[in-house]
Amino acid sequence: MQATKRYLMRYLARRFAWHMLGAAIGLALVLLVYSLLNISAGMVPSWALAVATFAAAIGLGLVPGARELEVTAARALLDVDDELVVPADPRPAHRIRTAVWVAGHLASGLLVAAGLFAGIPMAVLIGVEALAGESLRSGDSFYTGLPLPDGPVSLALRLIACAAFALLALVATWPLGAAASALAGRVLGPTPHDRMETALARARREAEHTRLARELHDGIGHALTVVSVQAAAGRRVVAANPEAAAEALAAIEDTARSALTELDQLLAVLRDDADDEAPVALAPALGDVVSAHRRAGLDLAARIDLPEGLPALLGRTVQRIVTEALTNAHRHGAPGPVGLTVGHDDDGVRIEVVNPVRAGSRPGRRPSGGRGLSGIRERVALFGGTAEAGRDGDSWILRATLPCAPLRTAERTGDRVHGATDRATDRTTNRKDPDA
Amino acid sequence: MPDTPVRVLVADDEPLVRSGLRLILDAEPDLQVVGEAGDGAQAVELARSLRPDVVCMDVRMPGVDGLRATELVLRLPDPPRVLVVTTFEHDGYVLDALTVGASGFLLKRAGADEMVQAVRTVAVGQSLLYPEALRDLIRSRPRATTGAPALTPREREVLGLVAQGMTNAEIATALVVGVETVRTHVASVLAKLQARDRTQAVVLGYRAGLVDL
Repeated sequence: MQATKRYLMRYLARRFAWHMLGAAIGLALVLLVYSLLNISAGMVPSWALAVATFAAAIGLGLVPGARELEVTAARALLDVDDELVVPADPRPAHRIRTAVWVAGHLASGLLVAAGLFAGIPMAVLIGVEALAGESLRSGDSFYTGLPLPDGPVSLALRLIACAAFALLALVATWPLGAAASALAGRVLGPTPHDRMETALARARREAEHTRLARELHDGIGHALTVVSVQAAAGRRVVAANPEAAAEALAAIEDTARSALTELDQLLAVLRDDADDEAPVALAPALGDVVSAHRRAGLDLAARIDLPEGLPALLGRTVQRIVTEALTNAHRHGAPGPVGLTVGHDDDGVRIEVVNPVRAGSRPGRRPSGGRGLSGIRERVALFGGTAEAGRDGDSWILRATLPCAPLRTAERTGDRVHGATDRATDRTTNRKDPDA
Repeated sequence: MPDTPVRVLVADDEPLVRSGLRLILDAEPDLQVVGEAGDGAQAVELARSLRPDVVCMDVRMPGVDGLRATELVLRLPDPPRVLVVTTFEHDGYVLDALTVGASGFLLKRAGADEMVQAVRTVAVGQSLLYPEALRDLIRSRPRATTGAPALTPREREVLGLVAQGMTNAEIATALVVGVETVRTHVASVLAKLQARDRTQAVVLGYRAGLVDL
């Protein structure tokens, strides 16, 4: 009982504080508007004052920081459990809602204050006049100006009305506070647009998880499989065939090392995603892929033109597709120059790899059958893109398109784009360098 | 152990997995890797031309995948037995491959001894490979409720013991009958279920509700 009473008192005190906050700001606003109007236009009718004050309240609600203040006040004083948001980048819908809320808060506060500080004294005064049977006056003017009751029934009604009004003014903070508390979530909470964005963000995250799972499965899972099979083989033959065992060890070493590199990149992507800024170092990564294939003997001419602001996973997919395509060209293609083009337009990133095919090899057989193309197709499909490959005369052409949200234009990204191209060109010109 | 070595074809799209399997299997005097295929189509081609006894078939391969290749290989005249090789234990493809007639499955992460033993077991075909793992795999799918062929109670009993991985001799001891009798029952079960071997009989028998696993 005691606890309930204490809880109730605190509850009412917080609601009351919320109203007094609104009243204080509201009253300041009223005085400000009143004096400004008075100075500029002389005496103004009270409706004009009300309209001007309302407009000022709306204006106050549009001031940056108002949302934060109101959200804090609602959480602390109205005990709002609903989700309230302070958008970092408020949209018009947020601003309008904030302004309406501020105006409502001030109006509600002023109403409670007026009831308490003007309504109750007035009710008491009217009651006392009625009981005394005499109009109270100060000098020449009456306090209330009401005619006195003309009988016992009228007197009783007058007293009851006064008591009821005083009581209402006294407790008005309760229902008004409850209403504000109930409405806070709708006005200061996430808008339908916010909710949709949240849902979209979740969907994007899930899609990225799928992609990451695939990266792990394809990359690390595959590498570990190779490592375990080769290790089993090496152990089996180490006594009888030490050379084969040594080869197995070398394969394990290579596979593990490249898997670690891959893991490194994957973790870098995850870290980038955590930052939500994803300046993936794709140009250097592609440069490495290109130079690795050149070292391995591929006569490779590369033109790489990358957009900036490429999402990390997309960038990584580009890198993997290029790697797969070059590996395929290397494994299955005929000797001769191989062309790699990575470009972009409004629709997204385009990758093209052209390599010569062996004369007489059946069209569509080996090169298309490699792990490469189906892997590339699956990867690209995760981003809603397309990949196709086919023979054109003596050439095998692979084209992949990865759609992405409109990318920032090249002007802003000039350094980087040219940097990437220059780098690739450098390598092309240095091809005969034994180290390149 | 047979006098002539068991001829094995290894099909996997990863060259390093193929070379590892080759090393492991070739080190055994009774096993001989006669060819390597990099995809399903090549596996079918080589199975036809090299006539291996066992094909170690990766389930996930580009182009013609291991599942389809298994089907095609098993349609060859006097087909080899297919041992499905998989990276992951819970791969729906594996069960599909067993349903179409693969004789067993092997995890790529299995040790060398296990790999060798698996190839031998499948080559001989006298008992089930990894009955426990097979049971888990089969259980992962719901069973059909209709279309079960009519097995005699004795045949069902035999199939149940086959599902536990018992050989004919073990079943004969368990049921206190002759090995010949068991052989007749098993042959009858395979015929009624239209199963290629014990593995397929267990898979199909479970699906038809004839075996409880």
